Amino acid sequence: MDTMGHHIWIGFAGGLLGFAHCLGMCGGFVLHLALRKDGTRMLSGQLLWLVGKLSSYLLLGAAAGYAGGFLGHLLLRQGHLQNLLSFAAGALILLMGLSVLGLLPVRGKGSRGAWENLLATLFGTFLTGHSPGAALTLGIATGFLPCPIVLAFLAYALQSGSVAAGMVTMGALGLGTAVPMLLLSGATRLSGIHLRSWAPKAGGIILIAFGVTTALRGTTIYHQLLGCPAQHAVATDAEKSCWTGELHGKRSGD
Amino acid sequence: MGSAAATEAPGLSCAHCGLPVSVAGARDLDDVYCCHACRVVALIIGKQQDEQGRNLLRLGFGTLLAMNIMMISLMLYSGSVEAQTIPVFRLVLLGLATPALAILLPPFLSGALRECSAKKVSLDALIACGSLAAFLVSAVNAVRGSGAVYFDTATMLPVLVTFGKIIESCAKTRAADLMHSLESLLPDSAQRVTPAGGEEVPVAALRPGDLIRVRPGERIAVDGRVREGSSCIEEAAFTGEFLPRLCCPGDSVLAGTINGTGSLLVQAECTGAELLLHGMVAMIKAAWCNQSRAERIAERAATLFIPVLLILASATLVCWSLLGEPGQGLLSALSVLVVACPCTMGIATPLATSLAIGRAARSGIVVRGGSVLEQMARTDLIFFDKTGTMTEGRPVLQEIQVIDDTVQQNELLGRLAVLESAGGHVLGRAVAAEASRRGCGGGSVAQVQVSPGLGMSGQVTWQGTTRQVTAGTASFVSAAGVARPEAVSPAGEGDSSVIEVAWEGRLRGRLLFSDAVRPLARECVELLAGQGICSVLLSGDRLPAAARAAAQTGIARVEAPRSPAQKLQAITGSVAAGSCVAMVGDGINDAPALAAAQTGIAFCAGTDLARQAGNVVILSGSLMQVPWLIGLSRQTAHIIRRNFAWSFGYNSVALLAASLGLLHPLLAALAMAASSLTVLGNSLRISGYPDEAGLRQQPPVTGFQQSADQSSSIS
Repeated sequence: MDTMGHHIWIGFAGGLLGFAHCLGMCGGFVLHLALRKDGTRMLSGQLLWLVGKLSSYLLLGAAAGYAGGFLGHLLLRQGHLQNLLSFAAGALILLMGLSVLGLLPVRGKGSRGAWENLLATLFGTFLTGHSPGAALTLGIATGFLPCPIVLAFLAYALQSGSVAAGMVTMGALGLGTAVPMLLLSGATRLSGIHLRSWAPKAGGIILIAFGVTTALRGTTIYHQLLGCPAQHAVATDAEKSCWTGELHGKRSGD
Repeated sequence: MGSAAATEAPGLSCAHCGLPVSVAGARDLDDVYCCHACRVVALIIGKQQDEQGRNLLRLGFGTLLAMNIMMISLMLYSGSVEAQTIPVFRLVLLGLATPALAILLPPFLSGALRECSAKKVSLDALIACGSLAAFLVSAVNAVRGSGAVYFDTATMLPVLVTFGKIIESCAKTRAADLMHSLESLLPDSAQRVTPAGGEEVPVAALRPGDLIRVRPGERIAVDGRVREGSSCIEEAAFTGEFLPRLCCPGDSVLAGTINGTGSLLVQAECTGAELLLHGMVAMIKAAWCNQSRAERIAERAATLFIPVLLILASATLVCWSLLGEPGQGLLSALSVLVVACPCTMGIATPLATSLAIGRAARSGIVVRGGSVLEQMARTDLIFFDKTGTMTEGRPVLQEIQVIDDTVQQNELLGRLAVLESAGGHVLGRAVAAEASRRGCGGGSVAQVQVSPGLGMSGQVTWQGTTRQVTAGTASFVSAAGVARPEAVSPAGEGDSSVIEVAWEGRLRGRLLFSDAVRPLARECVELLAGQGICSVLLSGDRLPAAARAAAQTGIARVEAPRSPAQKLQAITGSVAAGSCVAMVGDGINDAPALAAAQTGIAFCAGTDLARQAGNVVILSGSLMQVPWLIGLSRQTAHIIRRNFAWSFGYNSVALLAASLGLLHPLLAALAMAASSLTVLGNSLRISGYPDEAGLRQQPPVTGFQQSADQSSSIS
């Protein structure tokens, strides 16, 4: 069941369905890059932005998969805690879904604005020019924005317990969100429609359903319903990853 | 003091973030930076637009390479790669890491060389050396086909540190934005009105005496007075008050404020460098260079930090090597160098102070230095001057007492208003205002005789009848031969100023005046009490008048009448007794008392900032800004203390873990970045400090129990 194709489709579908929310966060950057009058430079800028963002997603996916594999290996030794990773990942995805729907409590008034201002200044540094370098750096930085959808799929990558699975999931998510956004930025360029008016609520509902499913993967009932053998999927990826327990001492090629 | 500070201001700004830089810290006046973060970021990102484009492409490409190296490394660590292909992957890593380091390291090496030439060792040099060492060891092992490789560490370190420094310098840019926003308040040009007509001229060409036409919605270009027209002026940038002020002919206006819907003709009094706006900017620049005690401690700690770090890293390497694990020793030493976070010392403390000074300036308060903020946070006793500070400073008619039953109040008021129109006394203006309000003014006066400070007399014609009117103090009226009814005693030493009015040899009535207490004075005292601060009214006025003002404002302790010398004595006595004293008063009249207090808070009514005594100048007339400012200073002190505590705790634990080999260099770099962001984010909270209205809705900051105890004993 946990094949690479499975992760790719989950990531890509998540990106496609959640892209309306991503427009709220990244739509401004895409529109900024779409403002260039020269069509070739606009395209190259957007592609570089996409490459930067995708690379960040891939790195995050790899790191999450690596961490998940390590945690899974540890939990495998504690038989009764095997399902913990699925439950935690499911809960996080659920929370992110609620966050997208605006159902989580907001922060206190005192601290509001400081980080937003800092991020705005940081991104303003990369937005000052229309150079390809600015687009690439902006894309890399955009990939690290703490978007609820990214956090949710990072939780999924963590739960997969595999570097490769994490990378393909996040890579597919990046493509799933970016491709429609780039297409729509082209439409904006042509028609001048306002993308931010799109409601991102659909993404939140999808995430909640996804979170519940991920959490259920840790239960025996779920696997019995699907006719799976008694082994849990959580352990499968971790077992594939050949963990030896020597994380930092064992370097490549040692 | 302020003027001195302003003239000492070096006028140099950081070439990257724009914060003021002291001359002592700048070696090359053409290329001045306030810190290493700004220097490195300027090298990485560049200053010119074209340069920025190229450098950002280099940074982006280098980061992409480093991220790919990290991804391949993670695959190798997790065993996702077939064993026989591992040597190939190691060579691929070498191929990717070589250009990555060639792109990422030059700014660090350049900074390191610069510091070395000044016989200093910076953290940038340590990171460059650590990264190069990790790369060289890995390259040799990759070519040999055996041994550990650290390409991920070698390349991700400069990436993480670079982005950390960009965020640091962005935080500082936020503080400098205030200065730019103040300077941008001035318009580029103004319409000068001459006998030949109107002409649009640059602001620099305006001179005192020029007449300026200010059209609706325009920013005013000069400090001056309205000659024609009336309009509402928005002065939020100077006073923090968002409600516009109605300005009529004769009222003063400030450059940088925004005209409402009316058209005004303004005569310039100050232009160019003499503008209040420029005075504020100069004072804030000087304040940013005036370090607080916490900043001096932080700077000294930062100076000692790197040598201590070097010793610790060397000791770690030596110890692990003696234990027979030089590879682990290299990693641990690198972790020690990377995990250390001098950010609290180098950046967060001055950033917190700068942001607090900037936040105060945004509300129209000039604080002359970080040390002033520190003193203010410790304040436990505050003296208020009465006239012009707790009160409006202008008398208002409180009561009209008619002594002769044949006379109406309006006649008494009307005749006195006509007589006072020839004198121009401050009480006379209050009489004229009331007579005008009642519509009983109007008439003529002749043969006026004035006795300065006592009273005046003259022939007053009011509603067709002429009388020889005498008005003034009781002794003046009695000396004029006025008969006083037996039941009426002379006006004594009450709590009000009194004018007795007589005509045709008979005392007709009295007018009682009082100085109205400022709005929100009681709330100010209550807020101060909530902050654990005891308020004292220190007045040169008579005791009954001072006691009355104190009762109205809720101040329990009154010292009156006090001469300037006695005021000084009261303040120095309290300071000697161990209190941390603030004095709130008029910036010019109370100068000695303001200078004697640890914090002198002056209300500035005019545009001459430089003449104002005191190390805090409040441009608005709002007393509520006093507890607000004390709250801000306490919040700043609290944040700085918390940053110090975090820094001490973090560095102790992290350095120990790194030297014991419990922390991989990459995790160390992430921990350092997280720590930097924590303290910077903590400091940035100051810029979001709520305004006065927000403060009134919040419970008071009561972190000073000691102060509260002391104030209760004084009361």
